[in-house]
Amino acid sequence: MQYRTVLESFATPAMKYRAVFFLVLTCLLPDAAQAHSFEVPYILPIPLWIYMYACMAMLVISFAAIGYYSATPVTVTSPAPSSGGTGVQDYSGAIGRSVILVLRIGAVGLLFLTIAAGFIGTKDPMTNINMTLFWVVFLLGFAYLTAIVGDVFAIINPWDTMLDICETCGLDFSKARVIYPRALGYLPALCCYIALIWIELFTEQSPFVLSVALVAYSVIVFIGAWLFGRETWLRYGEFFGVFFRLIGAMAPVAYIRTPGPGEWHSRSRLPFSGIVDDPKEHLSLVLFVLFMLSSTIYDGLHDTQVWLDIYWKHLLQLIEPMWGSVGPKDRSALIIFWHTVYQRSGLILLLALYVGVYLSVIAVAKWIAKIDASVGSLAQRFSYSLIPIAFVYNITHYFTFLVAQIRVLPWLVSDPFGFGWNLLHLSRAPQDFGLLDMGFIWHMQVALILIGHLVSVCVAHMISLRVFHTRRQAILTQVPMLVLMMMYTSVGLWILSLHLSQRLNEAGG
Amino acid sequence: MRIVGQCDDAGALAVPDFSGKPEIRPVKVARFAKLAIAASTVVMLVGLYVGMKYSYAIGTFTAEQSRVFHIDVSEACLHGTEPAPVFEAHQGDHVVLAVTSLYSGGLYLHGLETVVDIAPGMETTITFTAEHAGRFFLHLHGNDEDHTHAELAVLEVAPR
Repeated sequence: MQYRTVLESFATPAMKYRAVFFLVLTCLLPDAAQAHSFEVPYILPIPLWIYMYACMAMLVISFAAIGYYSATPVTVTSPAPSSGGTGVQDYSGAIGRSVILVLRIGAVGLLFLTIAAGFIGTKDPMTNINMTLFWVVFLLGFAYLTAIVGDVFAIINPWDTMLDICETCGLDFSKARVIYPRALGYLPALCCYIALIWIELFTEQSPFVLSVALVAYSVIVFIGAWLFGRETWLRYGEFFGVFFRLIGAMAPVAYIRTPGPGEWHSRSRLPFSGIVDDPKEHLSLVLFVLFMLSSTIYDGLHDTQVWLDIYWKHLLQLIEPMWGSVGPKDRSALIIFWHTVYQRSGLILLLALYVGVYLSVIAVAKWIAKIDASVGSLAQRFSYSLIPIAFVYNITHYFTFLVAQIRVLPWLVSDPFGFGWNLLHLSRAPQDFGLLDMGFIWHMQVALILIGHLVSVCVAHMISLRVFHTRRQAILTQVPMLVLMMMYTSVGLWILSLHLSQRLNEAGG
Repeated sequence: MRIVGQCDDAGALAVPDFSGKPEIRPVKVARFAKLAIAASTVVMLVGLYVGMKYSYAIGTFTAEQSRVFHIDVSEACLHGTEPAPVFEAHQGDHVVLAVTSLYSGGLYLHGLETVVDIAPGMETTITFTAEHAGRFFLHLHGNDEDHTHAELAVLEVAPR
């Protein structure tokens, strides 16, 4: 985009200052290119009858959940004493040190391979392994695996391992040189999360850009660990650690670090008990959970016809008269400029909307059940109940991409840098792997969203039984919470039913 | 009587008094109620599904046919000043994409992974039977210095 042309087209100094502000806002990262990176979605929106069925099924499931719990004489229990230790069914024992060592070395090796491939490998995202390793294997496949096998990332975190190595070499990351501000909480991790989604949605993804981003992130981790101490930064600032910890809380396995160096124990527990038991931590973690939900929703929404029509048919008519008389070229530049602003601010505005709705519902729950606790405190306690909805929506949105890309992984491993190698002596990659049946995709999407909704409703109910003193309070708070779950689930279903826009060229992604 | 685990606060839900009927226990009643709720939920979900599917999905199918779509790759296509057209077809249809271009390069039908070279001023056709349902993007990957990349059209193949 020609930002210079855009600036010159503003008539007054005040307009130019405003333009500079938005340029700073929008130019932090390069504009999205017309070219796709390596993901070309082929999913059609779910048809009307499946959408209508899903909405009705959601209502049926919601009321069934209320009826089920009303019929259950349950105990109002005390809050859980600690994370990961409650709901434990069995003590499974220690994880072998050699296993941990191999996993940690492997994780560091994969991180280095990802970074190196971006710098020395081909620029083609389809044939460079680093894009598939990071976006598909790590962020999708490993995240889904974490929901089953638990937070393995806490054990194999490659940045943790690199800090270990540095400490062995004499650098001390164990002590804090600056006291970590308590008010910050998980905000550093949230900022990294927003940056990651920003790169995903609004930049031309390439192996090189990814490697630069990973190097920059590694530098941030080292600086954070140096300033605030390793334990503190890995807990609050290291985005991937926080992300996988939240997903791993749903798993039927918990990993506990024992006092000895590098010793871990695994414990089996009831599925989802981790998100019921984990005590409240910090309000910023509520933002993090809500961003898990809103960012995936926005990823589905931002290139749909409905979303883009708001700009092209309504907002543009409002802002165009303010430009005055400009030439066709400048007009075109302004249209694209403001479209970029619209698209990028949408990500943050949707988070703000989700936070506003969530806090409002919590406030209503507090009011109708006459609870003494603050809205912030309740918001923290119930935020984990949204994780299943966020998680299943992520799967419905990305799983076809995962399936499509994971099939080419053997060929990428055989030629990681795109140099034409064939280390594994594989036959030539087939051009057409076949596509998943659209009916199967639609049914799976709807089934997953309904399951996620049911789990979230149940988890919210179980949390309420732990939090409140009386069963009446526990039941009453569930009415607004149920409405909230239905709203979030409905939005997820609605977006699945929306048509994508053909204005992708103009939209810039 | 008191149910095990029932809290004794004033706000607790009223519990039926079964003291005179020892053969009927509240735990059994609760278990029966839960089973009834679960069973009726499953029945409702299945019934809704069958009802919706056959009320709305039947009658939307058309016979397989041949569909020809023309695309003229002009400067407007490359600069995105007009939305790319959407071509609609059904699974099993015979599809012909006839492309005339001012530019040279490759025509990529993403998803179906079809690649055809294109030359300036020549009409190039991509012919295939739409076996897969989905939304497939037809892109021009130019072989010029700027590596022109433009979305020419979108083919939506509805399942039968």
